[in-house]
Amino acid sequence: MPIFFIRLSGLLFFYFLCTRAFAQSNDSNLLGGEIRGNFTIDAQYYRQDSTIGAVKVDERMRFMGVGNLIYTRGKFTGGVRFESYEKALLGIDQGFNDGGGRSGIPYKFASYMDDNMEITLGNFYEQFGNGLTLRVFEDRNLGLDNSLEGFRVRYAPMKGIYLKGLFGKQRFYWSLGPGIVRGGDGEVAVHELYEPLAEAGWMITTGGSFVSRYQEDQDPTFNFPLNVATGAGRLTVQKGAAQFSGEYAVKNNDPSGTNKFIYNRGRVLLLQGSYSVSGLGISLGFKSADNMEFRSDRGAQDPNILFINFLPALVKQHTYNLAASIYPYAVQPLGEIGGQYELSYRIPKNTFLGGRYGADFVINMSAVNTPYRTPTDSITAEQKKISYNNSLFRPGKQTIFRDYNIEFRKKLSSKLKMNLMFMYTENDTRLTLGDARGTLVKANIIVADFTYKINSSHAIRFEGQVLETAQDQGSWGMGLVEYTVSPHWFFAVLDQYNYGNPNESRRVHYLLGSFGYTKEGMRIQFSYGRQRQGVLCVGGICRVVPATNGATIQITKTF
Amino acid sequence: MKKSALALILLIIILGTANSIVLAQAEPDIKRLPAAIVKDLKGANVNSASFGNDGKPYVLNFWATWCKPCINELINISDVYEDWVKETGVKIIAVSIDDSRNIAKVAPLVNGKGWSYEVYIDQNQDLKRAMNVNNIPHTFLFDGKGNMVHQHNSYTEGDEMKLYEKIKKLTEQPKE
Repeated sequence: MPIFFIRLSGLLFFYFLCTRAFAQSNDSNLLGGEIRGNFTIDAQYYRQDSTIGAVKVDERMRFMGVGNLIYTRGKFTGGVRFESYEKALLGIDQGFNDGGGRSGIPYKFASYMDDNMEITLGNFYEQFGNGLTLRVFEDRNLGLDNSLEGFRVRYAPMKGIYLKGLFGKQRFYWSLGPGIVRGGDGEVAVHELYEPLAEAGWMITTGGSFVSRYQEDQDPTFNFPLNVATGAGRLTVQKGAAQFSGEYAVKNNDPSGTNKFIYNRGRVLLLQGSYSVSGLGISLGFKSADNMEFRSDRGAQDPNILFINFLPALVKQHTYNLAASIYPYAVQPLGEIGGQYELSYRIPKNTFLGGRYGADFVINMSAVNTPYRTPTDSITAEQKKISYNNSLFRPGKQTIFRDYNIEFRKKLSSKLKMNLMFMYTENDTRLTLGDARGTLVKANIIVADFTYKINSSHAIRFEGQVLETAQDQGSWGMGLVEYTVSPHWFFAVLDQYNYGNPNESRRVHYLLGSFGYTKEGMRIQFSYGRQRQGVLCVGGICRVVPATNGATIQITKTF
Repeated sequence: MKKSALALILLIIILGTANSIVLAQAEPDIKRLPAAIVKDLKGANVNSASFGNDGKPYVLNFWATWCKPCINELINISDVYEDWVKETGVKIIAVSIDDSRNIAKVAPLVNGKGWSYEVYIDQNQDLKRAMNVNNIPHTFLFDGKGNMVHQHNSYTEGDEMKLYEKIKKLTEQPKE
């Protein structure tokens, strides 16, 4: 037990440091600048629960803390982030523990920004275009941080021309990855340079990016390319209610652990279009990717580390529990072809379906397959290590993912709101979840969500969900009751029941109670019970949670 | 063992609330909007330091297309936004933190819902980081001089009325 106090005292010290700094910034203009920051503290108490597969956690209780302090004065900004994993909660990448738990400052930066130039030293996040060549980002809820440590310049020599350049190495838990990342991006807003175009209602933006990774080769058997380059070009055209954008990226041969050391080039094409007027929105998307995983360590295998680029998932991002967290889709950077279509329509007031207040419906469809590939002849395969040929436009026969869903939202009275969703999904869990014993799961999901506003502060929400399938773990049911008192409180009880599990002993309930308190930029949330791994959305916040049984507390504050 | 663990949790809660109470009584701290580059729905780069509302208050709201409470909040405000503008002149600036997965859906959603907010996209989350937003939705209220006077994390039904009371208070202050 004393070890907990030692670990906790570290966290509390930082907590007070943050709040003291905040208090000081109230009293006086500290050095004439402003201090801002935030922190998050997560603590979880674990109970062993063999029925749901919640493992024994030796520490019984784990703590995580993250705090940012940012100082701004005029054109200068500097900041640090303190992180503490004593130890990382289950579901968060355990690499952050560095063995027995670890605290430190993995993120610090200084930057200078004036009207047309920004220079950043230290750690930073950046994205070129859609991220096909480079997107370094963080997602604290997912325990994901691939920031670059190095140097970045953003420069706008004139209105309509935007340039970026950077170099550095990526964060690898508490050290840096082995590869050096160098890159540049240029964007030209044609309509800003040539005003008659803008006057005629056209917006045309074009751009290109180049990113290269250098990594030593000390492998005795393979002859790896030391420098691997990616390049991309993009175009966005908008006129009136219609918009089109496209980006195409290629990558040099990059044999790696995940692509099984092939010397094929990588390619990805992303096309998106949309049309929208008041009450009607349509969007279309197409993506085809082949061998496009790009990391700053060719040997990296863990799912979320050292990624330089980002391939967006062109499928709907669900938030209803069963739809979002049991059979989610995962991008296949090694190869996939897919498309998405979405139509949203506002049914006018005083019509049969629209009723007194009007109603909204959204139809969304997406489909993703593996690419069609033909194996190369044995000489090419063995000597050049080019193992297949393919076209970016020809899908293979294997389904990776399907999602056809319709959502209907309607205000039934001044106090009662209703949201209904039906979804049919197919998901090959061998690919999306990496489940070796997986299969192509076909499931129907129904969601009914009612919010009743009792008065100006009190509201109660009911949510019922069913996921019906004959495969994998079988069918699930879910119910939620949430009571909110604006602006401070929420209370919720949630139960998930795996009633259709083929193994009768696994037909268990996951009961979870939670409450939270919010005051301005501070929020405290407490929950107790069983949690399945997935995205959990209650009380106004969505968060990723691991499969556990026990008590969880989260404190967040922005100041 | 269990008791000491619970005691720790309690300690954290008490410290958390005690701090916020102490801080709530401190003088309101004056903070302005930091500078970061975001894009408008036409793809043009805009510096957040230029945000303002001609001497009237404005609200900065962080949201995303996939965030249900965020959408609920923006829909509920949209229902009364016309009255808010008429009575106080307030402006709502809605900053989407969507990434390239959902970015093509932002404009169709905004137009489809008929929202008349000023909408920006903070794809690299530069502004979100500069404002130290932990989770969305997160709302900041700035007075006519550009000082941040109120913030609120999360959304529950009715929060928009509490926000409007704060906005009204700002505009009802007697003129010197």
